[in-house]
Amino acid sequence: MTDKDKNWLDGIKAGGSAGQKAFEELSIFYGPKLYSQILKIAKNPTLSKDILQEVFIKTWLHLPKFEGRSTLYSWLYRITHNETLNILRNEKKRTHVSLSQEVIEIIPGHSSLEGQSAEEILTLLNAAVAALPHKQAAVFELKYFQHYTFKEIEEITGTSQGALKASYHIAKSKISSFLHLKLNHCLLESSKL
Amino acid sequence: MSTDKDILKHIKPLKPEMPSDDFFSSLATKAIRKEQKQHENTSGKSRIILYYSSAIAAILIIGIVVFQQFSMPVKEISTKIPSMANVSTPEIVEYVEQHLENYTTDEIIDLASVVLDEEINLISEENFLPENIQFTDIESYISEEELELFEDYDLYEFDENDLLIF
Repeated sequence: MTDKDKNWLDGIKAGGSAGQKAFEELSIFYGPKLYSQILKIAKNPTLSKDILQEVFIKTWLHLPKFEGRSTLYSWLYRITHNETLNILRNEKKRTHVSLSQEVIEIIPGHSSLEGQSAEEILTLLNAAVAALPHKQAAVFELKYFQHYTFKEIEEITGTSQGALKASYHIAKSKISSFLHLKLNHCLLESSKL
Repeated sequence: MSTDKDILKHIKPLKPEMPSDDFFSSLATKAIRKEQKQHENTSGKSRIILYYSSAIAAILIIGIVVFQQFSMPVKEISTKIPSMANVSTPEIVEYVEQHLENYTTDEIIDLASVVLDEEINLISEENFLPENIQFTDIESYISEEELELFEDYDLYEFDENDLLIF
């Protein structure tokens, strides 16, 4: 846990106006990172804002019970991931949510990606990230999707750059294998037809 | 065409359009306020349940008290009704005379059939029969009606109680 996280947690546990101020600072720092994470799955800016609001309600409720066994960011990442999936499941049941936001762009030149839409690739990519352990997924999220440097991620997570690089490398390797497997399987199925 | 393993090089994440800074700075305040509101709503619901429970409890208590009042032993109730012993006989007679028309014939007969012990004691062998009826009258009545059954019997042998069996 970083010193920043520790100060916020102490402030929140103390309660009162100091607690509220600490929580506000925490929201400003982690809010954008978590918003990007949600948008990648929800693909809708309005819905993503609503989900993020719910995430912070949950965070406010459960933060006093946070024991610090993982980094604060990986804890928030996990809450955000679960809350996003829960809300999306309910929202899709109630209404047909318009998923409009473009999150990725396909750069031509890879045989496995030929004929696949960005929407299909993103679905596979999200499934691959979801299959990772939360710590690896959190590092991959910050590095690959949000373009943070390893130095910045070190400041966010309090993990050494060496460990982060190793984590990212493993995550990337697992995701690439997952995509190859799924996309080649898709190609095989379509060639049979 | 590339077929290398690093497929991720061909998938470029786009930088999302972020909400304004105000949105993120107000997140905490909104979350705290919303959580408090939810807590208040929950408390409100608990309060409503408490009100209903109290109302039901009050109704039950009132019901039990009323039930006990109605199921009070007869002795306790009778003490609250003015005793008839305090009403004098002339008053009763006067009342009955005034309200005689309110009674049916059957009710009057029923009331008249109640014979007091004192009245029974007054009846003796001497005055058992009304004064204007003699035993000879009875004997002649029986013979007229041909009640042969009694021919061999002396009417004086009958006990009073034997005669009252019907």
